[in-house]
Amino acid sequence: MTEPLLRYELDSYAPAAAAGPVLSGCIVEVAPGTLTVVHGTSGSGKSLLGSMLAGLLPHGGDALDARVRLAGQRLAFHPGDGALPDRAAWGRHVGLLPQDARTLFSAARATVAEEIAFALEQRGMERATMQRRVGEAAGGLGLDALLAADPFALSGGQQRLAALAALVAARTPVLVLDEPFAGLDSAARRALAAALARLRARGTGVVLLGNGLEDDAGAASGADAVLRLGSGTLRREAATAPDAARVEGSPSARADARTHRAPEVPSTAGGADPASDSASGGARSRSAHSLPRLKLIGLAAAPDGGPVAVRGLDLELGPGERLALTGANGAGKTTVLATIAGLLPPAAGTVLVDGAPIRPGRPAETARRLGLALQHPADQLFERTVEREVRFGLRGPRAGAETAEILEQLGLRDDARTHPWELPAAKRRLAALATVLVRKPGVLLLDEPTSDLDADARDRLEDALAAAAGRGAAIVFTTHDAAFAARTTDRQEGLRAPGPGTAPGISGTTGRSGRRRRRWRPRSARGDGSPVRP
Amino acid sequence: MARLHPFTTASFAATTAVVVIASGSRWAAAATVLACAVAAVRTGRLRRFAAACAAVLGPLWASQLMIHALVDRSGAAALWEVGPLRITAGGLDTALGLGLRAAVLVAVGTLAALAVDRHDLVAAIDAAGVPAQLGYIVGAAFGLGPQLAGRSRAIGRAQALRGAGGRGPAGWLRAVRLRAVPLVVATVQDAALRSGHLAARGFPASGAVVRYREVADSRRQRLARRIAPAAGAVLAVVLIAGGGALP
Repeated sequence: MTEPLLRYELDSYAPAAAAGPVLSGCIVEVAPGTLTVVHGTSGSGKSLLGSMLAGLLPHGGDALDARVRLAGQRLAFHPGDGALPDRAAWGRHVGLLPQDARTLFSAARATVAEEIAFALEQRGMERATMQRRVGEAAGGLGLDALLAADPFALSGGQQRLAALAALVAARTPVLVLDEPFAGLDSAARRALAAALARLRARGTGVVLLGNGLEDDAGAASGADAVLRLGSGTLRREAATAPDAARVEGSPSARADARTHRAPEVPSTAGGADPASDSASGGARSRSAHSLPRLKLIGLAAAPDGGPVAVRGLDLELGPGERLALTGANGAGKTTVLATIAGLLPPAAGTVLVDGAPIRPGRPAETARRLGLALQHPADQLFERTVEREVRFGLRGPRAGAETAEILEQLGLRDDARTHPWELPAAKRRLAALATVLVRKPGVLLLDEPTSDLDADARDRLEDALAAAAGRGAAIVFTTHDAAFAARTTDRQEGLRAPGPGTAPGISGTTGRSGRRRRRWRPRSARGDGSPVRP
Repeated sequence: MARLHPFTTASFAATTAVVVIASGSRWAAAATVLACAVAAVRTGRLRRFAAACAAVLGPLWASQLMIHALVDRSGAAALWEVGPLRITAGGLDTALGLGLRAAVLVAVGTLAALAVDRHDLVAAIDAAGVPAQLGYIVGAAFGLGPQLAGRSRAIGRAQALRGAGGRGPAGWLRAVRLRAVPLVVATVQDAALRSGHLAARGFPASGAVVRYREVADSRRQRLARRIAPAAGAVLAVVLIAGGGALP
């Protein structure tokens, strides 16, 4: 039998600040060339487990009871013995791609190429060998054009790929990847899947930590072992290739489940299911609302101090309509949202909300008409409890009730008194979303709202979007999740990344109903009188 | 012209400043400052050069003027006197001399700082055999400012869209406080997470580090940057001994 590259037998793990163990009874064995998939909901402890496998935990004061076999060495940890892993030695055998890829960057290197080479530099590798390794790793992940870029100026998806390239170049025998597909466009996802296949063929053992959605589920179809982390314990699922569509939590499985699930949101559509018929609510709102909620006229958007990323955006969005803004990593989706919100001055063109222009640099004025949830939710959270966070800025006797209502809707009621920074990633994103939804803006802008979300959180998000559309809000969100976009939007607009000889801007669009449309028109003008269906 | 190694630039700058100051010639000092300004213009760095020089020299000149020119207690005849203020020709002369010396130091230093690629400097420090932490601290310090500024901007904008802040000084203070919370928490959390990943990536290295970035250097440059300070020191001693130096 092949000697495993890593075998981690964890009896129990209790962080210093925890009342008791948060993980127990977890055994992970990684053999050369194998793929082990660990599924778990947000907050289940996947990232903790990943950090343990990579030797980043325990910290001093934590109580770990575990036996580890790594690179032929046997290690034992017992509570109270104060033993800590030698991170440098461990890191030569196990590499970890963290959920927030930015934290892998050294922050002391100017370019992506230098970040990829960082670990190789520490080993004193010859420069020529380093350059070859960096070229191979970057080329395999489609990063050749970004080698000279500032790693912190990349989009979220590009940063994830750059961090992965750094691990690939380091050639550790084991790679632990925490939600590696999150935030990647379709081309990047394909490049990542191909890179994983090459790594395995080369003998690298890969552990993929995921939430069981989309590509994680797809990866599971080729896994040698599928484990589920729940209630702090790992249990083995089907070791043979499962049908991705039937993996628990996969989009189609959840879609099946949701057809039998009553909505948990208040509906303004006379009792109709807002998840499936929100557009009818939107249509009613629209009848009393002749202007489009959001109108972009020849909009050109440029990031802070940068060149124009997107130009020539023309679109109209009516009350209750939902638009998914898609496009490759780095195409300028976040820049477009920030420009619509007036956070960045448009390089050209106009943004109209309910017929009135959005004036850049006047966020207080804009806040009454428009809400924006950022790609990194932590950036907009500043209060000491979730409840205070959501209630911030609300006035009047209904403030408490409205806060409770939105917390209930997003499944955060039990977390009302928790510090937002202590929430798991999915709930933190929902908390940030709640701070926007509670203000009931006429236009709702969401940047990558499905990132970090597990199946349950996505259902909550889906319901929340349906409810917002039902009360007449126009919704624009950016996403790489084609399935989610198809389920939840009226139409999609693809941002085309600038390329040689092409002007950046909007490319073709696909309607949720299957028709291609460029412009929103009042429903009466379409002549069919029927709502646009997902 | 071949690109100069950061240490070569620093060596030439230090030598120039020392020799010019030791010469005691105000004309030489003024010419050096002017030459630095011309070099800044020719390399397209005039605005940053002027801003940096003004930020340092403004307060410095003001303090020298107050100390030496406005309250001069020497016996020289007062040019203008009111209350405790007493301006004399000698006081003005002293302030001018010291101000010019300071201007030489600041102008040469600023030009050198602007001419050096900061990442080349970090790579050069890493390759110099000093403790690896020094290069990292310098590199992270260069990167941290822009990163914090960008994050602070993003946080401020997002919070403003939630109605955080308000009008007037009180509103501004409130906005700053609210912005500081996620900024500080995120920075501390990032640093804690990053330290683990740095260690796992082998930092600090137990052996010699080879930087991916190649910093231009040559035998001539290495020789020049050793000879220049030595020659400058000798020249300075000669100049001072000859009575050329300083008011």
